[in-house]
Amino acid sequence: MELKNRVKELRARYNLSQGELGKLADASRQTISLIERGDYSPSIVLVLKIAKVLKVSVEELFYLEGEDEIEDEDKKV
Amino acid sequence: MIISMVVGGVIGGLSNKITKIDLSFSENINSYLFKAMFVVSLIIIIYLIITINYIRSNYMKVDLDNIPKAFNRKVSNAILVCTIQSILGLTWDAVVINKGFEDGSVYLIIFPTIFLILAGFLLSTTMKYFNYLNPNRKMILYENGAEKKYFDKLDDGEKWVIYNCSYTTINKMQIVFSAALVISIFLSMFINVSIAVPIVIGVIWIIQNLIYSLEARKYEED
Repeated sequence: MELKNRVKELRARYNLSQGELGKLADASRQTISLIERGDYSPSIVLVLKIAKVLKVSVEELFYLEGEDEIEDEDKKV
Repeated sequence: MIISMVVGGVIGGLSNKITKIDLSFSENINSYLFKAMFVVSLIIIIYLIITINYIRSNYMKVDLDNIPKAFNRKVSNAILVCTIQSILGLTWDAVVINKGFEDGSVYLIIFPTIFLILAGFLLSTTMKYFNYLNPNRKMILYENGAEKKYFDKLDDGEKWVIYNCSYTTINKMQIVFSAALVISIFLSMFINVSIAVPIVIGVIWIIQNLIYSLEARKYEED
C-alpha cells in the first residue's frame, strides 16, 4: 500500500506556501514539495511537526492508499 | 556488462584483421581539438557571464522565504556549468602539456589556464550569491570537507534527493565505463589510441566500485 497525504490540501486551507510551511516545520521547501508529490516518505519527527503546524492528527494528514476501503469492508463484516 | 564484454572481445579480435586506416592524431587533429576546446570554453564563459550578471542584478530583490524556482535553477545551473568548465579547462591543460612537450608548444597552456582561472572566479562569485540565498547552508569552496559539511546541513528530504541522485549516478556510470571501454577498443581499429586510455578507464571503474564497497561495509558492522 502506498503512503498518501493531504498536506497540499491542508496547507491551502491556511494559505501557506511550501516555503512557509517548511519554515514552520523546520524543513526545506524542496522537502515539502517532495512530500506533497508523494515522492518522499517523511520521518516520524517531520510528520509530527507538519501535523502540529496544520493542527490535525497524523492520521488525518497521512494515510495508506486503500485503507478507507479496508476499513469499510471491516465495518460491513 | 557481460554484453559489453562480449562485444568488446569480438571487436578487439576483429581489429587485428581489419586493415588500419591512418587517422592517427596528427598536427591537424591537435589543432582542431585546440580550436574546438577554445570555442566551447568561450561559449561557456560568455553564457556564465550573462547568467551571473542576471543573478547579480536580481538576487537582492528576491524574497528569501520564497525564492522563485526559476531563479534557484539559474544559480544551480551556473554552479554546474562553472564546475564543467573547470573540468574542461583541466583536461585541456593536460592535453596541451601532453602534446606540447613533443613540439615545444607548451606556452599554449596559457589559454586553458586563463579559462580555468575564469571558471574558478565565476564559481566563487556564484557561490557568494548561493550563500546569500541559502544563509542556513552556506557553501565554502575552499573549506576542508566542504561537501560533507554542506550535506550535514541538509534536511531529510534533501538528503533523500542526494541519495537518489548518487545511486542513479553509480548505476549509470557502470554503463558509461563499459561503453567507454568498448568505444576505445572500437576506435583503436582506426586511430592510434594510447594504451593509457583503456587502463585509465578500467582503473577509475575499479576505484569507483572499491570506494562504494568500502563505504557500504562501514554500515554493515554490528
